[in-house]
Amino acid sequence: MGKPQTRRQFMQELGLSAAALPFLLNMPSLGFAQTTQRKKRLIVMFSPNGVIPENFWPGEEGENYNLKDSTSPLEPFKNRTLFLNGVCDKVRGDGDNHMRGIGCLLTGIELFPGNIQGGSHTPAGWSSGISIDQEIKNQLQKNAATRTRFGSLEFGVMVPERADTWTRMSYAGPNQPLAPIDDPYQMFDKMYGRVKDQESLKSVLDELQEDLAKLRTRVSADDRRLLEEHAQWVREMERELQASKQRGNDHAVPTLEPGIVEDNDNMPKISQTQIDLLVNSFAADFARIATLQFTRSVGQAKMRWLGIDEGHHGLSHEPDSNNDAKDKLTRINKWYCEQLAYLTKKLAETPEPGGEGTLLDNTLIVWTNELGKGNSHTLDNIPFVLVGGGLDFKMGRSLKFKGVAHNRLLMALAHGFGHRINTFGNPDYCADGPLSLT
Amino acid sequence: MMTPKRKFHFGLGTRHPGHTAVFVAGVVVLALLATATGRAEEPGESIYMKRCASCHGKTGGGVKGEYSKPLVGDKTVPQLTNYVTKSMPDDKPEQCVGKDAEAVSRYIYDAFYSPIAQARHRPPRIELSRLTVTQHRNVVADLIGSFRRNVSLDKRDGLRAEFFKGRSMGRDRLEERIEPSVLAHFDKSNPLYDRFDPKGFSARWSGALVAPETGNYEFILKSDHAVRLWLNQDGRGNRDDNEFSETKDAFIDAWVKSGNQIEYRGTIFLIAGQVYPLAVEFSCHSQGVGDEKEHKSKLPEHSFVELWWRPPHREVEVVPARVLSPTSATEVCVLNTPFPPDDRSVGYERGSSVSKAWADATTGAAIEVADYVVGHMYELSNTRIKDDKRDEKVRAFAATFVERAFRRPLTDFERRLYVDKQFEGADDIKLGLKRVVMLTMESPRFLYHNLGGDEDDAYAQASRLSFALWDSLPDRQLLDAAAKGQLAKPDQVARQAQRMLDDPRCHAKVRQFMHYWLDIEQVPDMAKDKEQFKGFDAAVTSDLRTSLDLFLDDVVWNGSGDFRQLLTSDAMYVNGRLGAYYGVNLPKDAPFEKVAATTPKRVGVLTHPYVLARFAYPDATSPIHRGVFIVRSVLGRALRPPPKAVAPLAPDLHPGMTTRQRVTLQTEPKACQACHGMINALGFTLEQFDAVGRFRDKEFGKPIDARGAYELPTGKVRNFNDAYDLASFLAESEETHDAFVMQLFHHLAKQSMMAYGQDKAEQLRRDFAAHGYNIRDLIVNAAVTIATTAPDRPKAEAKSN
Repeated sequence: MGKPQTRRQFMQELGLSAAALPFLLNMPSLGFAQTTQRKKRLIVMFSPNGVIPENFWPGEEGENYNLKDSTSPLEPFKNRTLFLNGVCDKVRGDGDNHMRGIGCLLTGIELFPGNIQGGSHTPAGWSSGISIDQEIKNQLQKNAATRTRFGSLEFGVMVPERADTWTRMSYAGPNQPLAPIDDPYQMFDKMYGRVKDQESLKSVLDELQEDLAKLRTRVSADDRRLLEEHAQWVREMERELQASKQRGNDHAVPTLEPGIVEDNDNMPKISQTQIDLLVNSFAADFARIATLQFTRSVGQAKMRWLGIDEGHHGLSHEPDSNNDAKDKLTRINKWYCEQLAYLTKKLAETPEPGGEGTLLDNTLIVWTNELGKGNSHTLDNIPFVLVGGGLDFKMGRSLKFKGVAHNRLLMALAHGFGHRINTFGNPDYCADGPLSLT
Repeated sequence: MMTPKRKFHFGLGTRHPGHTAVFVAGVVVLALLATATGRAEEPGESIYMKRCASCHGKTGGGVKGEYSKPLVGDKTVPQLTNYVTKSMPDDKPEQCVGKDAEAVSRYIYDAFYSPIAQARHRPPRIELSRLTVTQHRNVVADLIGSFRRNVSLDKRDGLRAEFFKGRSMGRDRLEERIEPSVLAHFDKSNPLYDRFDPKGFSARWSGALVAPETGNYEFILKSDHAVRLWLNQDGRGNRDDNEFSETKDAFIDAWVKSGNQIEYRGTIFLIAGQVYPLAVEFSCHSQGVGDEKEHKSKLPEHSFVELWWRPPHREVEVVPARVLSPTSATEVCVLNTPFPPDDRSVGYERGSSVSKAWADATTGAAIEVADYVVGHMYELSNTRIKDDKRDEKVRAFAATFVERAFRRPLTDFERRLYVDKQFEGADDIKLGLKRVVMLTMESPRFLYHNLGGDEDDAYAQASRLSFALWDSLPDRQLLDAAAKGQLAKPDQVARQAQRMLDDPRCHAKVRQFMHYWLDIEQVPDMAKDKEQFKGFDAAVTSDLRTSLDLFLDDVVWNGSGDFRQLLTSDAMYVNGRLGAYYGVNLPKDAPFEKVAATTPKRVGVLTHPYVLARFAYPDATSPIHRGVFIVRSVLGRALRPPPKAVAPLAPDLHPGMTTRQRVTLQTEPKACQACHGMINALGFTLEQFDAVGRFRDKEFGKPIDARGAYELPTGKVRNFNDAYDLASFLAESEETHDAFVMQLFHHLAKQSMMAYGQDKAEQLRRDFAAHGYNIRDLIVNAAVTIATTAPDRPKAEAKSN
């Protein structure tokens, strides 16, 4: 079930709990210098409804490979990209393939039986296990050297307002789905609300002194003492704000374009804004793990900006013989790949704060999907495209496995962070250990 | 060295904690004692009178032509001593040195010089006060609520229950009715069962919840199918007037049934007396977006949904009908910022001091409210994203917001500073609004009482009235009355007060007072000896508190509202569990009902088991605690703390002795008797009730002696045979009435009653008697007094030293 997020919790997360207000309004210290090991980061990017395999997977194996239509935007980063073909989601049990496709994708374990009825198969509930992003996040948060303010951030783009098995990919534990934040303003508030409030508060306290002075003359000498004491606390708060400003944040707060409305046609703008915020959050070291979920499994984005009026999921059911649908689906996936390329480019352009190289050198992006292919609903050959130098994997390759369980890839991610788990998700699919990608 | 001040504490108990007259009286006692005994070891006063009074005046007020300024200041006694040694008397400092200088300094300090002495001498006045924490929370809730639909509370108990044939609510409704609670089991015995769709059905319970106390409530939703609880969430999260539809999950969302879980919990902080929207939705059908025909679900033979809660200081129970209403309510903005507790040093909460922690908390609250208002900007401003007049409407809303927050129309200066300037300084409308709200919430005009406005006018009166009755700001009707000059006469104010009584906020405030009066506000630990009092568990304690609340509410709000009923009524509220424990014949699961407790006769709060158990030890009664309660709370007499902490004599070390005998033995010394003579003789009258409030006629095989006595103000002694006797006396005692009036007044006004004039206090007492001790009339009269008494606004006082 969705955990009830009370406003009290929300306030605590924002750090606006009153007692510690002046300190919490300040940004946490960034502490780059203390890190001796390089930072490692992970982004899982999700897009729905499978792919057109022949326009997605490189035909070649090894270092010399060519990108197909859908993945051509990765051309500038080809040597930093790793295609993993032949990785299969072998988890079965309750729920249709779209549900299991997203619900078992990062958890590697069955869904609970439940009441959510899909287009076929038995009804199901939430995943019965934690997802790998949260597993790694917990590991990083345990250690002071790798702990960050949020640990992980869950971004979304046009995720429908519905909490069900199709809309949730990350799990904090069994029956604990995490809702992605698809409102950039909300995400901005979460990340930078303190700083903005600090600015507003400063301006407000200035104005307050004026009125306090006026009111002081209005009360008797006895009562004036109370107002004078009050004024003194206001001045002290101003001093604290000033001091915290001087302590400074070497990280500039990004500006967010006002007035973006949640609307299908705004999807490109929302996507770009969320990616910008994601990169910002990494640059500020607010988190080292992020997910970026486009719509949901069975997502119905209408990419009218590509001249495609049909909904994505509807198109994905079209038979292989429908070349028009195939073309559109190829272009849809290419658009998603462009988002991946934009993310990659932003990371590559951002120097590693307090370290060497760029954010991309220390970040691994995993682009994935709930299905291998839309019209067959297969969970074999799930798209796994890895980009970036985050985990010491040997990049610039196209690998073709023979139907390995995706649990082994999830384990490889954990091992990449030095978190040497022997199994992840359902142990039946972990027999041969983590995939070797180094 | 024994200081005069400590001597004063040996005086007999004075009356009425919490007003400065006590201290004035104390000085008189001190003077009398000093004169009477003429102690040689305390020459301070005589030195002063001999050597200092001619210039400084007998009470340090100064003498014209000599030294005219009053002797007040912040030097310590040693500092004063040094000064006297060096400089005083003016002409011959050598006359007063050493021990003499020290003694006279100590006298000056205690008698009139020190800040404490000054406070003692200053006549009580209505002090500038900030909002208390309770008021702050209420004001925020009501301020924002004032921009929402007006909610009028449906007096019926329970929720509106609707049952639908199939999966979707709102379609094919089979039935609608009021149900007391959400406690539904569906099987073949249910008349609706055969009318449900073969694949399943759905149901909804909706209405409002009135929180009886402020605090954290845990809700427990139980069901074996899709279920969710919306609590304090208006519009079911389908708000589309923001740029992004909010990810607004239900408070408890178990629409996805997953695994074996059938119990879901959530905790929420609620403010007493506010009305919160509540809805439970239930669907006994598979969910999901697939084609209807894909759904293979089948109507099960049995399915259920139940809504439980754990209110503050209580045990888990089904959410009872009495806190539910089929009202359609609106969301309440509940301030979650934690505040430091208010000053209660004089016996009632008051906003008489500020601190860093409080200033930080108000800032936290300002940010929280600003976030809330901006997050609901479109709704509160009654506009939409695509509205040509959007910005105009938001600005108009902002101005009204400030006006309501300040509880009066805005001056040009205020409008300029608090509204216009904030929007001008911000680059977008949301930021502008945020600054308006932050500044307003930080403003002394919002945070303090009686501060806005150039003079005391009808708006100030309206505010005093609403804070007295609701601890909150005036509602629209009251503001309208102020605007139209309809608060000019006391009877007009009284009519408003009468109207305002019947509001859950007033009920909550009065209940809080009753808890204070009975000294059960800080919920006591009532764990008892498990052997002796088998079955007196947390559930019974929790039920007892409910039982007491039901009784208090009944006396105050129903019928004649006669105060004396609180002390003499034989009525008791009992449910099945309490019935089993206290020997009232009821079915095991019976809900609370009012019974006449006749064996023995119960007498109101005095013999309510919650009160009796609260003033008792885990293994024995405590006539001393019970006596102190009667002396302090009921009779309103002050008692000094005991000179030393004494552990009670253990029952097992004194076998064969009754509690009465043990207490008598232990408090026999003369030093104890000054207070315990009074305390014990009152407490003993309740000895027929054991440590959990059950009747007993024997203790350790010996018959109970419940006789007691009380020395009347006239000096005569009144004897009692038992609790019934005592209660009959107390109910008619003027001391009891005085004490109740004063304590209630303090709770309403959060100011010293003496500040409203001796004659007004007298008047209230007389009116109370004349109105047959009707508590509701007393509340109205007190509120009118509070509303119509303007605090002094002296011109700048000559500040001394």
